[in-house]
Amino acid sequence: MTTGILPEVKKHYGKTKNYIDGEWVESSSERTLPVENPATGEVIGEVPLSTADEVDDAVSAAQEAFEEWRETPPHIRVQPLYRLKTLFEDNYEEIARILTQEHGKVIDEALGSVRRTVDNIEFACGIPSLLMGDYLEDGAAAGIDEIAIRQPLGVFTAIAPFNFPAMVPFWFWPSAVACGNTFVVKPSELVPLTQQRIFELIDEAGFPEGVISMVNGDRETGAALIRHPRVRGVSFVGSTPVAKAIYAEAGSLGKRVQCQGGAKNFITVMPDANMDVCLPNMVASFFGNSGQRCLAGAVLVLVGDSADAVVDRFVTAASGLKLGYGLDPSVQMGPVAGRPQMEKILGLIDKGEAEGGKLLLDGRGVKVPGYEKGCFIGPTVFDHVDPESTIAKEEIFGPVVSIIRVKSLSDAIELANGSSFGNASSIYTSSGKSAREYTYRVEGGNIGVNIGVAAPMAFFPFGGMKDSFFGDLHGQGKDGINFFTDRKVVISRW
Amino acid sequence: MKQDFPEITSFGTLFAFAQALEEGLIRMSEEASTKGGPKAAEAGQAHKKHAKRAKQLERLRRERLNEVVLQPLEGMNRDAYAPDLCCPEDASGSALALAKAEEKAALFYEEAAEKAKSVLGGMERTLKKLAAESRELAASIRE
Repeated sequence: MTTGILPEVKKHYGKTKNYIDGEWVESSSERTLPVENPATGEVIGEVPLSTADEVDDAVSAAQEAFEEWRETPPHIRVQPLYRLKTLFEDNYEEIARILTQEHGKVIDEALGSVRRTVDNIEFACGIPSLLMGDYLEDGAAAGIDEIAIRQPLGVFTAIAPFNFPAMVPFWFWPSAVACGNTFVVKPSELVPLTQQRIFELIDEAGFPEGVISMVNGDRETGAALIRHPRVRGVSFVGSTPVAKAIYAEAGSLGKRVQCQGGAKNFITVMPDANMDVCLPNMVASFFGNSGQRCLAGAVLVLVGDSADAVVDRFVTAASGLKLGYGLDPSVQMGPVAGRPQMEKILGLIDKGEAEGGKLLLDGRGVKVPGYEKGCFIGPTVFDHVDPESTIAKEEIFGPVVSIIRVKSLSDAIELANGSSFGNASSIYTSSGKSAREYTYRVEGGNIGVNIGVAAPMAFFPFGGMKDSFFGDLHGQGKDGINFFTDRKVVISRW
Repeated sequence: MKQDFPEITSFGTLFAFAQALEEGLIRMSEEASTKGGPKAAEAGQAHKKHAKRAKQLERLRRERLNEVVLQPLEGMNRDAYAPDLCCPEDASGSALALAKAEEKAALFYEEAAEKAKSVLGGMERTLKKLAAESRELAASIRE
């Protein structure tokens, strides 16, 4: 291990291919997009925006593979997943470096997200136990037994966001495939290179042809997947308007749907919080992944009279973060994931200023020496933000904090529950009573107590509430198993 | 041999520093053991331990670092812990240099254990053990 910038795996990755029916296939689409490194501004690849015909090829192959795959015993079905886990461990650093290069997150964050990816493979390896049904002797009447079994449904798809290029598809497909379904992944067109490398490992792991496929593309490609009559279920992670639209459309077509939408996460700090311990964790919540996590803190709610002291310490810590290219291990915050994201965030900062927020730390116009073409926005902190203003209500998805001061814990809870979103929320406190009250009353799918990024592990469900989630069964954990299987009851008399 | 050490700005870089330290100590202890002298056996023992520790730290870094524990880390100055990993020509000088490097490593792991206490549950004991081991190695070489 040496200091300095870690090497890029490649300077240019070429044009990505689709992986259909166990083969690498060049897309025939004339529509393509460049893939840019957001830290350097360099073009590092090209992604095709696949056609509806190519989607049909992938889904048809998945459908063809389904019957034989569902008849493969569960303990055999998980063998390629075990091999894939080993391949991930062997290529762990390389995947993380590609991820940093195309997305911008710092290498620690990339490594952490690859770990979360592997966690989901490991979870799915337990499917022989997780898939077991229920059996009750004399369950229906004397001499009449009743059993409930789980069965796979067919072809599923996942449409992934840009903020976690490796991990998000793995919330879904390993469990789905281990349950006996087949699957088609569509990575985000902004960050397709990590999945390209991962699918090389998937190919090497030796899944039967058609069981797991990948189609590159944009919204049109995604729409073709959602509308395909052979697709039985859709998992989506992205913005709220798109999540809502997919939920409505796929639902109307009779498909299973789980759609994770946007977020506006409220982080409450009580006067009794141990700031020495909590401050670095709070800073990581707001600025980790450059604020581009669905679990990132967005609104800092300060309760009581100690707000000024917290603000001073928070701003000092935020202003000390080292920005740069994420392949430099000492960098603490990378760029945002692309030019359009950057423009959107800058526009919202302008709006926050225009609406009267007091700008304590301004990340606009920040320059990172050597990376002048990068999409960098420094930590940005607004104080005394009007709860009705745009930056207090809308998802910014960037390193921008809105501070709101309130008198009591009840006020803080009311404020958080006033949001249309309900993805995550955290409280920093030394009081068990306050923590209990917060976790009991806040309407959010993921609650942190002295934890700023309450990210459920692979064996727990991951999903929000209100406008942050559309569906009933969340991704990951037992919810995932339920989503990817149907229940069948058999009542027998002999 | 010159060894670069990363700035310690997060728990990820803390592990990176530890791995760089172990890699340096692997080389240094091997060199010291091949030079012979009365402490060659102790240096050889140190070499085996550092080879094992490097693997252990790589495994821990992969398994323990996820989003819940990623956060900025302050108060650990790499210059305070980065040892001089150059081996002098003579055997006794090499052994002494190795002992000094082990003492620096011990200091690093002791302070890393303190930092880990509230964030990386379960790591404090491991880091303290590494510190104690380095102290013992240093003492056995200096005896």
